[in-house]
Amino acid sequence: MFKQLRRKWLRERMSRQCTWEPMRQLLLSTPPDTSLSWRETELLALDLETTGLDAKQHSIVSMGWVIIRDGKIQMDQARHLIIQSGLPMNQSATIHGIFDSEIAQGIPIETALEELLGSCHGRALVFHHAPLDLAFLNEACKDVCGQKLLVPSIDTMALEKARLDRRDQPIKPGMLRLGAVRERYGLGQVRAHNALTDALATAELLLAIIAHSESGGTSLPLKRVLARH
Amino acid sequence: MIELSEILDFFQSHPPFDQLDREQLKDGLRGLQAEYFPKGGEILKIGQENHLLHVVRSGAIELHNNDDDLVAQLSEGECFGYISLLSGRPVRYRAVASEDSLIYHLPTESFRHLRRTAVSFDHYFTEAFADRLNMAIRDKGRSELAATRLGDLGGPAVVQVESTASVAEAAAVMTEKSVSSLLISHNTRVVGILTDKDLRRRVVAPRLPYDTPVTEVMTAKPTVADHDSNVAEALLIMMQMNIHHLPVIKDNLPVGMLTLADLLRVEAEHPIYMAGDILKQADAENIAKVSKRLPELIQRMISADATSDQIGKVVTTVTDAITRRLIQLAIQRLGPPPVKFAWLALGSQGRQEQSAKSDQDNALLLEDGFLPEHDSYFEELAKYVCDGLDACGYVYCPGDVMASNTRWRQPLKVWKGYFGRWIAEPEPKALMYANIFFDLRLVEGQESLVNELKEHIAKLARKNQFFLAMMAKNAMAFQPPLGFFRQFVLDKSGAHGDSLDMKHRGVIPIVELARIYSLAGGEVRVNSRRRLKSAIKTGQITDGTGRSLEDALELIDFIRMSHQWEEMKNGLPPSNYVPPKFLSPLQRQHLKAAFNVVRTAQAALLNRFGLS
Repeated sequence: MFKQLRRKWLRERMSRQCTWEPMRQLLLSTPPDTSLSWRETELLALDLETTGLDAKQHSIVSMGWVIIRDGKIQMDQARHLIIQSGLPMNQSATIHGIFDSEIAQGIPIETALEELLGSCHGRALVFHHAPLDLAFLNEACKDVCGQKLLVPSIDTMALEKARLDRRDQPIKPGMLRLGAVRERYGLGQVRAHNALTDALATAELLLAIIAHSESGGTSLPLKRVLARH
Repeated sequence: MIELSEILDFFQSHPPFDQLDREQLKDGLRGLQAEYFPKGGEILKIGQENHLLHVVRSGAIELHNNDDDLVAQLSEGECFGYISLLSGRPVRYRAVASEDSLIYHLPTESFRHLRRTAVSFDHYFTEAFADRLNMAIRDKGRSELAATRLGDLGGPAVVQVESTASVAEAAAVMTEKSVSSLLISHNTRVVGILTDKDLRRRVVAPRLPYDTPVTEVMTAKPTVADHDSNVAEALLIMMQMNIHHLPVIKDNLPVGMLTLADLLRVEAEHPIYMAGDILKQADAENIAKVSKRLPELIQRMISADATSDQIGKVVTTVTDAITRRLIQLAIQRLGPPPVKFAWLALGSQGRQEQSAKSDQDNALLLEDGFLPEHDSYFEELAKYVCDGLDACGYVYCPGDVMASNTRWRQPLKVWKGYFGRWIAEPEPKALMYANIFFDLRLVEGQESLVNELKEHIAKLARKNQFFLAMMAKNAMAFQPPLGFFRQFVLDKSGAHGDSLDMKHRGVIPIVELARIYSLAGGEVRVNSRRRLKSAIKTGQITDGTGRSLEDALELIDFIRMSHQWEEMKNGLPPSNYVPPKFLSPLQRQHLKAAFNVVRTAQAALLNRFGLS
């Protein structure tokens, strides 16, 4: 209880310091109640494509996300944003054919973040390997407004690693990659890789992981699946 | 709006969503959700309300009825929950994930919207099973001419000259290629046609010089036919335009030249002519030679979209001709028969339902004036005919049901005794014989003998309810499967078997139902379709059931025959085993519906005799 109050107070203080409206609004919004069942919480599964692996050096090329509500993926709320500046010419080919209606021209990172932050109100984020994507998002947010992104997140890779650790199963290289984990849960292969298909693949994987760890009608509280940073 | 290509691709590759175009899907899949169910997870409970169309994205779903019997097993791309959506009534089947599954849910409003968008999508769900079947085969069975596409006719390569050619050059090409017409082209496009008649009337008669450009005497912009149009249409064009040559065009390029003579050739290869050829042959060897054309004939009919009913009748016509000619040849050698006889075709030949793979089943019915010393004559006759049939590819009956067997070469009174015993004491062996011998038909000889035997049987069978009940029970030995699951055949006990015996689990159950209806109605027809039609008239079955069974028979038998042809093309002997992977998703759906019709009719028949 005290922890929650303290967090709220911290967020309010940060919001007073922040001049960028989208971030200010997000800080003032009510975060998800982690004691509730994960089903009662809205989740946003997100994936980024980047020009490299170093958040300090490289930049975001595109972001894709889907919403999970009532334990179901909401297919028609999927978003896929191509970032203008982060797109080197030689990679443009990979962007084509993602969408039926071609929107590959790209938008500024600030516009993309504005839409993403607007979609994060009251939601927890879902990643496969959260630290990497979060590092990029934090860098991008800091560039725009000097403030990190403070949203609770779930990491399907960490959840699967914890499961394997509990069973004392040695983890071989590649075993925790998205495709390999999906295969263990009987989920099909993703054909075209881009930020959105991987976000969707991550969302499906989260549902599978949770379904296998819930037994007999119980529903896990959100805090049980949240990542600790 | 659904924009994800991967999801749109998924829907577009599965019926009935494949009936919608991409824009319709994008707009129509509003509110689509995905949910994950681990193995054993329950998606729908019996009695619950349902407002979603469910589509299997990955994994597998089992549907169970109130008694927890397995009703269906669904794999990727199949839908469920639509019966409750359409009726607005509570769910009738429990849906459980039999593997870890990802399920798409489509809200009822979007489902309704899609049904309004495309009639064919709507029909998939709303047409009764029987109607759906009916639709699948309604377009078939038109005349052979109307069903043969020009592109399938083949024929020699098209002969053409450039538009710069002279009349003499054109005539030289025509002579060299021995054709009566040629096309004049300019930059690969057809600009004209020149025929023998044109040369006579426009060049020779007016005494034009031979170096006249061909373009001056040709018929410019000739009437053409698309390679996709059918022979009947082409014939109509030729008659209306009063022309004898018709260029066949594919993608604006000439691919052939259809002449009136070609059309006559199509006619000349009609099975009627093959039967005529057989009757002209002077010995068994040459009959066997002509009979080798049979597979080609079947192939032509299959590709011409003939019905399995038509194919069965044509194949039987050929078998009958072979049998008849062999009997005639035997009589030429042996002299006139000592007493009158009737050669009977039994089984599928009797029913006129033969396909590429048929054994011979036959018998000899002799006049009651028959004496033991006459038998050596008929024994020789039977041997000659049966050997001849075997040489033509109708292998000897493995159960020895042939006229060459003394037991099946008997006078009328003995035959009446046989049938009397089978009907009075329907033990398993008797029922087996009854099933073969009830399908008897005269091929050659004395018709009155057959008629007398048939009347006798009809009277006996109709009166004997116990016999009919035993026939009905016996008919349950062969049951159709529930459907298919991935590459397997699905039975009540689950999915197994990677091929389906289309004869015993598809055709035979319907043939047996038809036979029992017909006997119960006091009729002695032998063709299954005619039996079903007359069973409707005599009130043995409802109009709806009769028609549905007829449609089911057509569908199952046609798929069986197409697959046999596929096997022959690959150099394999034709079999009755069809692997599910040979079937398209739509064929699977239709077959499932057909099997359902058969199962329902079987259950109703058992009920009727109080045997369920």
